[in-house]
Amino acid sequence: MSVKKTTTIVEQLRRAQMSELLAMNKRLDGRGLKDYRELRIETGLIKKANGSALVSLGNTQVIAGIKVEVDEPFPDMPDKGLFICNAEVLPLASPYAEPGPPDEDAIELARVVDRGIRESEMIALDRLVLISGKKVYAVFADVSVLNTDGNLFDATSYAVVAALLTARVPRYDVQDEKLVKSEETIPLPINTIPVSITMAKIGNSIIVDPNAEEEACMDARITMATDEQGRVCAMQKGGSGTFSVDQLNEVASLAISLGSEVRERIRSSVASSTGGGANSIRSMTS
Amino acid sequence: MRVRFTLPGDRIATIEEFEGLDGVYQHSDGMLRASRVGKVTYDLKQRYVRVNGLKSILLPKVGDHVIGFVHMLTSNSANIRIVYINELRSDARFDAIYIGRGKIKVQNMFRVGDMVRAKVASILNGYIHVTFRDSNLGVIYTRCNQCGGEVVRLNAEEVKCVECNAVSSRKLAEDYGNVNALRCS
Amino acid sequence: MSRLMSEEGIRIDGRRWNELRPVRIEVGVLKNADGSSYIEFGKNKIVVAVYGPKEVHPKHMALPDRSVLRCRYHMLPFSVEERKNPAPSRREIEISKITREALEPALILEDYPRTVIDVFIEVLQSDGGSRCAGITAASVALADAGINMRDLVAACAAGKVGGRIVLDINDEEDKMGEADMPVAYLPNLKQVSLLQLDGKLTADEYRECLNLAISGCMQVYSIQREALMRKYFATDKRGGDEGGGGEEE
Repeated sequence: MSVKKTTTIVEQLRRAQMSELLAMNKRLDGRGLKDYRELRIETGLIKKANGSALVSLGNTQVIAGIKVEVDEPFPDMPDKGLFICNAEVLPLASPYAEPGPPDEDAIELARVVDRGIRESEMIALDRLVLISGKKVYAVFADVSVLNTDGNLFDATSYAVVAALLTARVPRYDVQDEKLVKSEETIPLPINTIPVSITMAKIGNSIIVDPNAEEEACMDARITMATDEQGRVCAMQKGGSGTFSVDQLNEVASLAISLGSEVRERIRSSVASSTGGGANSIRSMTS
Repeated sequence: MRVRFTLPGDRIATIEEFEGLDGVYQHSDGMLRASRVGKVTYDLKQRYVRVNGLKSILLPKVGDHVIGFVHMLTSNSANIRIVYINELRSDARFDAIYIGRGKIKVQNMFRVGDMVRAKVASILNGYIHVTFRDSNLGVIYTRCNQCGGEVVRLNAEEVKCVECNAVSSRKLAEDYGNVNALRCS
Repeated sequence: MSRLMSEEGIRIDGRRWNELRPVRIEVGVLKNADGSSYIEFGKNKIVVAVYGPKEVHPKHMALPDRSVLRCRYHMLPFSVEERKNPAPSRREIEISKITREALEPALILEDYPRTVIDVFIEVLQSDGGSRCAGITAASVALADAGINMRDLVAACAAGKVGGRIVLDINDEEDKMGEADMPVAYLPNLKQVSLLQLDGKLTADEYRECLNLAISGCMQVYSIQREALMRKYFATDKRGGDEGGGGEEE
């Protein structure tokens, strides 16, 4: 059963402070309304994974790992590989996270990130088939949130995308209907880079990349993923408030323009990442 | 005074030489040892030694000012979830208890959900007891009992709703209504 | 000689019998936690957070005279060769328990009655000896949280590989070797707070193995000290980085 979490009076008080500032186009942390926080991406730090990425978006910090296995395809999709995305907010990520199976927020997080990647057709699933109807690659993306400070959607999405872009999977040869694993590794077949942009509505203001304090006070949230052609490919509205049609038009244009900016950031991070990873956690927090 | 850095377990002195204060413990081997990361200071006149921790743990102490919200009310007591200790944010979710003593019923001082400022009066058996006996202590933010609307201060003991005009009683702090009572720390 | 140990006494990863894998520790890596650390111990990559002392929920778990220590050791799905289910396994539950028992004697829990202290150990990438690396990092995170402690806890394994007693068993030596003995040690108080053994050792080998593991713990301890000193006293030139509970100046 899903129940709205009660907001404490602390948040109501904060909201009053926030609204005063937003009326002057300012935010409590000093950002402009359309500014996202500092984004850092490091890939390749987990050698036991096929691909991995550590992403920090302000103080939000997440790690994604890709594991690729050989599995049977779904019976209704014999010529498609599998992509499975999971997310969990680790209990070390916040004083309010508890150990246990993923709650509704973690499940929504995983599904929204999954949708952006699936619907943009980022991975060419039809090229993950090894033996039609029998053997396909199954790509598991597991994301763990290490430190929460709002906007887990975008941080998680960037981490999965960066990990997928840098993943190496074993190549298989088919001999007499049997798979033979070769020594060689190949990258995953990638069609496009989807970029998720999350915005929040507080009063009548739209802000980009809400932090935890802003999320606690927001009326509603919207996440939009766009592809390289500037097409919107997945959306999720969240929170108990509403958006007007004008506001929805505004957020779509923002998602497209900021999306292409972030896409370049992801591209250059992936290209320049050394894969050493030894300094990653330290550098993220310095 | 001499200053030196220590980590937990480091030998600082023998029990014959000094008396250990904060951040120092006495081990069964007759040694005084540091119990935290910090700077040791020896007071050579008084023969005291202490380790000043570089990171202090936020635990409510007697005399501290705390801000929290009332989450449970009975006829003569209130439970308060602490959110700030001396203006520092605390996520430890400590619970404080207020037990009414005066003529005024506790239900006429607060409502569930009210944000209050209190002072830690005592810590008994691990329970944090708070007092409101001062003009700067009491409710710092509340809403109307009837309709949930905004209320304004009438006097030190009453608020009035701006929407439904209902008047209800509260023990108000003197700066009631000041949004900046909670700093953005 | 097995393939784990060459004629010259060189191990599969190039180390000698008494050599530790590279260890590095960072202090204070997570913003939300009260204390945190990150450790690389060989190929292990582990992050630890400490929360507390804080209110106990449910309340009946609280102890009137001391704080309750809770530990969770957990591996991320991609930390091992075969993808691991994120739900805690029996192995992780046991390691959580022995980790708590290895740390408890070092903590002055009586200073925080009716509270709880949570220790979360997350293995990002695992190699042999992840429990020792986790305990080592957890004790640094507890010190970073400012919790009163009698001592740090340093942990390191020793074992028997290719017929020889060797320090700090890696993944392959653990799988193919004859014995693995993880030890946690309170370096100033000279007490052992964790001891396990998988495999066969003679009485003499056992003594040799224990001494070697403790010497490994002392090496780990100096890395812990160095990490904490770097974090807290790096800008200040004076004072106590003499390693190992120095005397008065």
